[in-house]
Amino acid sequence: MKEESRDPEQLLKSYWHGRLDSLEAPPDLVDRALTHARHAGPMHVESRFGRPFKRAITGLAGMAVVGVLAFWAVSHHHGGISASSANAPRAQYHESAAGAAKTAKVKSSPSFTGAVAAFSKSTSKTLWAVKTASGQIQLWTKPASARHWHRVKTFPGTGSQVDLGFSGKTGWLLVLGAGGHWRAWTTQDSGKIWGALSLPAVAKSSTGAALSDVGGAPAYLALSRPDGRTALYRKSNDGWIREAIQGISGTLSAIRIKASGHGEALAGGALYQTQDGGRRWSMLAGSTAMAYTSANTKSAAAVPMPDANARRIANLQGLGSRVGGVQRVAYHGFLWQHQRHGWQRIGRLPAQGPVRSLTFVTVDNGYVLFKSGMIYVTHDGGASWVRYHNE
Amino acid sequence: MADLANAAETWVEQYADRVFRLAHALVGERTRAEDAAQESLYNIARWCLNHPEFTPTDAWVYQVTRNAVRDQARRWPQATVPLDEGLASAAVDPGVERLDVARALTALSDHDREVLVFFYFLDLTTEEVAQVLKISPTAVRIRLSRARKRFKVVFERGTEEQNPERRRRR
Repeated sequence: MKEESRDPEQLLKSYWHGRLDSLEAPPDLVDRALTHARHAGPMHVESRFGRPFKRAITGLAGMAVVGVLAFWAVSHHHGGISASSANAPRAQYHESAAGAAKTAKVKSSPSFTGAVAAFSKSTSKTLWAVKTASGQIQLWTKPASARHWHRVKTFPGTGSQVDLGFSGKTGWLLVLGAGGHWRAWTTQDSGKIWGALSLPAVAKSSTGAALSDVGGAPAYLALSRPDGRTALYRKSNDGWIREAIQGISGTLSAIRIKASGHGEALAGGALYQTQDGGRRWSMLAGSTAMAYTSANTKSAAAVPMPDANARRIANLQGLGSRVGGVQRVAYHGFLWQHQRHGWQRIGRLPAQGPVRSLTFVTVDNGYVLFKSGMIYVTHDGGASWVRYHNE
Repeated sequence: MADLANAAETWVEQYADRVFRLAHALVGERTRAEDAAQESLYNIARWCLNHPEFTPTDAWVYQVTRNAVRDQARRWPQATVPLDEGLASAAVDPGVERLDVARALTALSDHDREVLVFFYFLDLTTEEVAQVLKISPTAVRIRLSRARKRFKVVFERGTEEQNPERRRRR
């Protein structure tokens, strides 16, 4: 075969001109820019002599003033965040004032609108959210200390059920598209590059899907079939290989298998464990009857945490979060905490209805996502919550 | 005032496609390019509204766009998504070089990438690039030469990793 030309000049020219020459700006881009500009008011122009002086002020004493003002603005004027419904406690917002000052300049960025379908954190510093509103699958992110979300990617097609997971730098997104067709994307570098992950052909007719990584790469895929049985696939260099599995029944909703072969799975509301990479499973006694919904408040107040497997089940379902040696679980309308002395009920969750995920970034700062798409944030370990306005 | 608004609108409409393409070339991804282009067009419109006698030039518009892209990268450094869907789907075809080019571009620094974009995509002369980047033409030539070499190295490394057979043939 003839070796192609590798002249960087030709490569770059053909790459850019081939991709971008026919590209046109979205029709609403001009309107949005003009609308913002008309409402922005007069523009301040620095003089040549004033510039270094202003920079010096900004760099030293100015930063202190901006910091104080930003802190005041954040604590008194929530902006994108406001107190939730009447029964929610008063907002106590402690996120980075510097972050707020920086983002305050962004007047023309798109807003974090629409209900959130999935929520995750990749490292202790970055949060991720997926929205499926308005017929698109949008991926949003923000550093944990920042205040505003930023849209980073729109995946093709539409989707309803969404599962977003991160393990270190590896992340994956599973989406149930129109016609019951599951699709997946994965990233190996903390969300910088997302590539489509091919799934077995049976994924087109599966009722449920769950992914598990091993050593930072998606390695196991569980697909629930319409007849209620579960098929487990292991990723190899040749693609997905189906594994014969024993001892598990019911629709599989979550799976986690480690490189050692030890793993856990949730199927039909029960917790199963494996020691051999997912071939044989055994159900753990007393692990059933864990309903992680936010029930109505009076009956929920009398519900104790049921058994020793609660933490494992909650973590598998995304309803548990362990940071700094403190395990939290969203259970029956309350936030529970497990430390050395056992379970302790911290307080009521900020809204009723099923919880989709609970994520704590630090011991005090955490987020709860309800299936309705609402996100609440806490900065005092769950004692009080503030709602993100998504509408 | 209405004349001023009309003039600003005319300028923004005239430059919208070019700004969007340049932002796309610099960030490599449509969503972020939209955000950066919107920020850039907002700045252009606002300046034109405040300065009736001002006539935007290409170099000035490119400079504003480049600043908007840089501001965006500074605000959201982790939110770089350099591959669009078309490229991701092209990954299944090992003969397609576009993905390798995209990967190599993401591995370059912002300085290297922008000088390549201005020179090879916008077809500016070194003097014009110097005007946009506010450096001397000599500095542009040096930066361009280094960027070209770095791109070549990264691109060839990437294609060899993707296609081990090519490496063996060599």
